[in-house]
Amino acid sequence: MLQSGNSEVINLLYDDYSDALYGVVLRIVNSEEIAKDVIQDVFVKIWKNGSKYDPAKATLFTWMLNIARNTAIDVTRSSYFKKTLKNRELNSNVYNSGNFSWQNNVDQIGLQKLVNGLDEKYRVVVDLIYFKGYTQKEVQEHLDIPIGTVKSRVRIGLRELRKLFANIVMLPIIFSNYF
Amino acid sequence: MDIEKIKSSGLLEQYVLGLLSPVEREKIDVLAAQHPALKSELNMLQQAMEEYANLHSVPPPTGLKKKIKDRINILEEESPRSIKVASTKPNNKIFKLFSGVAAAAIVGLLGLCYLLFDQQQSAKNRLAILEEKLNKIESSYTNLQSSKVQVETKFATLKDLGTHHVHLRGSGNAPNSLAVIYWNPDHKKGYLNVVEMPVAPHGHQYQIWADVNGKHLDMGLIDTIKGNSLVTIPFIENSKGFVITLEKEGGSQHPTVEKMYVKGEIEL
Repeated sequence: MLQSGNSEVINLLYDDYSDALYGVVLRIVNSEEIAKDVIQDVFVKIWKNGSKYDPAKATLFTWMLNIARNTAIDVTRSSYFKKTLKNRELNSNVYNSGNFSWQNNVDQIGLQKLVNGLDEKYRVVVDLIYFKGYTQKEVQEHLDIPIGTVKSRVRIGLRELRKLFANIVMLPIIFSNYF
Repeated sequence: MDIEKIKSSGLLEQYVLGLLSPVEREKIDVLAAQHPALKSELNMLQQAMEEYANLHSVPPPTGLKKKIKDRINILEEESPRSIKVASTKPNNKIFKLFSGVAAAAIVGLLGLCYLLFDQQQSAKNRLAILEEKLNKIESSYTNLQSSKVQVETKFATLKDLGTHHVHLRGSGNAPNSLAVIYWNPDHKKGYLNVVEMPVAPHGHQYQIWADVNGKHLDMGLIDTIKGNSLVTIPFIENSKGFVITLEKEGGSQHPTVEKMYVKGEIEL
């Protein structure tokens, strides 16, 4: 009975979360072609690992975001990806939001507002970690700043994000469809 | 560990960004489960990252959903698995989602039950009809069986060498009339086959008589007046011949000689 329900669950999840997950994956791999493959793997993983999801630890959305992020980041670390990236000579400056090819998305307006509100130094650290899968040590090396500074920027960056979202009354309608 | 210290340590932020080692994560999980204040702090940070991720939303290209469904369908066929909820703690999205699925499953199950019930009812009806048909076939089979026995007995009598074929020919009343009696003294059996005789007038019936030493003994009324059917007639010992007369309805004690239609003698 549930077996047939499973693909139905994936259907529902896809309808409500695919935009966000695809957006994150695209941001990470910076290639529509690769993002399409990655997002397939992501949903298959969601389907396969559904039994491992623990609602006590995270919301479903966060759990899926982490799967999407990890899958996409793993891809960017593969030799295949690095080769492709070199050949394409893609702009690797992922934190320059002005260069994104999906600027027409309505949420970019919100992103722009947020970016304006969040100090660049925090956003860079958060993005390197969240979208590139950097460790704090890697951020330290990449930006050539002390590890303590990285840690404090992580902490302040997230608190700032929280504040900004509390202020910007522009909440996505993502959950409203469900229940 | 002091909760306020943890909250300001930056560990929660690192947790949310996935920077902690599995052991550190486990510690936070345990603490968060024990301290609601920590838990709500974590939730808020997680929500902030969710919102942040949402801002990057891009609709995936069309056709992707179908590809995913196809892949999952293939996997489902290979090894059926079910998504299970690790915790049944209420008031969270996955629980609601899966309870929705469960509800759908129950509705589906009820639907299936109804369908099965419905099918069972119509199966019952069909069974009743079939049973009736079977009964009819059975009784007609029994009839066939007994008539087969009769036919076989008659046939056996007919081909028996001891059976006399007695032709009863028409008299002046109906010259073209013909009846044949098969008479077997050995088996004490007699059959009548009316080949040709006029239909009995209204209020009259044909009656058959045996000639025993000059006396006409009543053998009964003949219902079947025409057709090549063999009618069983009573066996009367020492019969020398037979006559059929037309009598008033219900028959007579003695044959009305003027109304004799056919007559024949056993040729010994």
